[in-house]
Amino acid sequence: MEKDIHHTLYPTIKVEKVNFVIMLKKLVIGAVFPLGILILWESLSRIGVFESYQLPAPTAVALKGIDLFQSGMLVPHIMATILRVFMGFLLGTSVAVFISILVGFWPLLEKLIDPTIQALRQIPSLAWVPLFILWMGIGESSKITMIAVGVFFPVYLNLLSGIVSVDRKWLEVGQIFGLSKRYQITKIILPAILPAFFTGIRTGLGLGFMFVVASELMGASEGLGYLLILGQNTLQPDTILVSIILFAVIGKFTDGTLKSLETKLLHWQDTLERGQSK
Amino acid sequence: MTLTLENVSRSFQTVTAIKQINLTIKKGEVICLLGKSGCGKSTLLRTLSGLDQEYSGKIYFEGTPLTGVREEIGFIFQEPRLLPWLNVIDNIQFGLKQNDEQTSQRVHRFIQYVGLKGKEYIYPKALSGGMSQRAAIARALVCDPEVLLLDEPFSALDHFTKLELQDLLLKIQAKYKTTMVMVTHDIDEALYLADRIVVLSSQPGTIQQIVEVTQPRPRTRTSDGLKGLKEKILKTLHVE
Repeated sequence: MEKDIHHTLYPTIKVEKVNFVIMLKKLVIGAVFPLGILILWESLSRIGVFESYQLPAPTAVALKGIDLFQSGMLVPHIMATILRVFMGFLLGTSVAVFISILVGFWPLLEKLIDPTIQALRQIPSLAWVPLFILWMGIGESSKITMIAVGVFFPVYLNLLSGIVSVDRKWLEVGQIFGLSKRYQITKIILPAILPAFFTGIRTGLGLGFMFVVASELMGASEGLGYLLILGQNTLQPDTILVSIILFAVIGKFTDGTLKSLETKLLHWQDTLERGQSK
Repeated sequence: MTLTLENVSRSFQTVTAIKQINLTIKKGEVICLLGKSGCGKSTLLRTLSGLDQEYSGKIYFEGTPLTGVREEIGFIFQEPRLLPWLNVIDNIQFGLKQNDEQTSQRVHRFIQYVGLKGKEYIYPKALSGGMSQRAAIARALVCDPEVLLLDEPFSALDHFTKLELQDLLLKIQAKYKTTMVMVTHDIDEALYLADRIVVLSSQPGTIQQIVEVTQPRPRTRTSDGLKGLKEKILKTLHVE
């Protein structure tokens, strides 16, 4: 008995250890290049190749970040931007889910609505900005609507293609076992479209961040996009860089959250590890 | 009398896949539908399952007309068709409506029976072809079907796995007296398993010959009696 327990425990411990080593290795290899760039940048700044009013040294940017944080300005800006992305993402995703379900399950609606959506998709989303501002002013609603428009398309397109390509073979399995419509949906269709849904929302979130910058550049009194404009107008490249870096960090963090959720929910997928971690 | 087919035909647009099939399948009988590829044997099986209802003619199950999929009729596909997001045990209990202690015991009994004990919580991506098909067999059996329809269930498996699973089927048949209708293009498989072999001609698929295999089970795959029948069937199919 004791031997059995030892046997079952030992391999898992070993596997975890190996995973940890692999992760550490990946981290170190991944850090070499950006660290090299940072060191090069810092030294070139120090010997005066880059003028500090054009490209300040990394340490100067870091100090500026700390400075902004301590003045209490930074956190409200970050929160404002995150809130906008969140609201726009939620709105865009909900509308996309709703419409793609309608269009995906009723062929008539697909013929009726999908061509229009495909045509609207061809309009660069930023082209809507003036119209939205005209309609809703430069307040929160026009910004959130814009972000939602950006999020809508990838979610809609991916989810719809997921819905219409659910394998007939699986549906037949449901049929053979006499599954009710409700169970066909919860036990077969929903899990089958989950991968496409995740691809959609991850792309959507990325676009959401793109559009929050655009909307904040158009006119805002707070947010990281506002900080960009502020840096430009007050000739402070360090402020701009702080904002850019924060976008990178926040974007990476939110996408990482979605990705880990995806990995957890879609662990059953028979795909290569590498293909999944894009 | 479990299944009766009267003048069953099925056409796809301009092509007649099967034509005027008349056949009575007795309770507990093992029938193999044998024919070259494209002879409509899978089409015939799908009409029996209720998945395909676009046929003409009549099919009776226990004397009543078959109007759709029935709980009493199980189906095993050519590919295992396990749902990739469910582990082995959830796949096997996929078709069950109840969820009580008794059902759970039943599920575990069948897992043991098809030889998947210890693999309950594995996901299909980690299963071999043979294992997956075992799970698919358990998934159909656990619903206690009176008739089991099998559409070339072993054609994608390697030879040894195939022989193992054929024996598993016979074991099941002996124990549960399940009526089985199996589509195959493998004459040896048909001779080893069937009580009657229905030989179908090609395009349109009609019944060309029904061969009774009277040899008692367990059969030896290489016996002389089966050899004679094999030659007879090959002649019918015009393959020398």
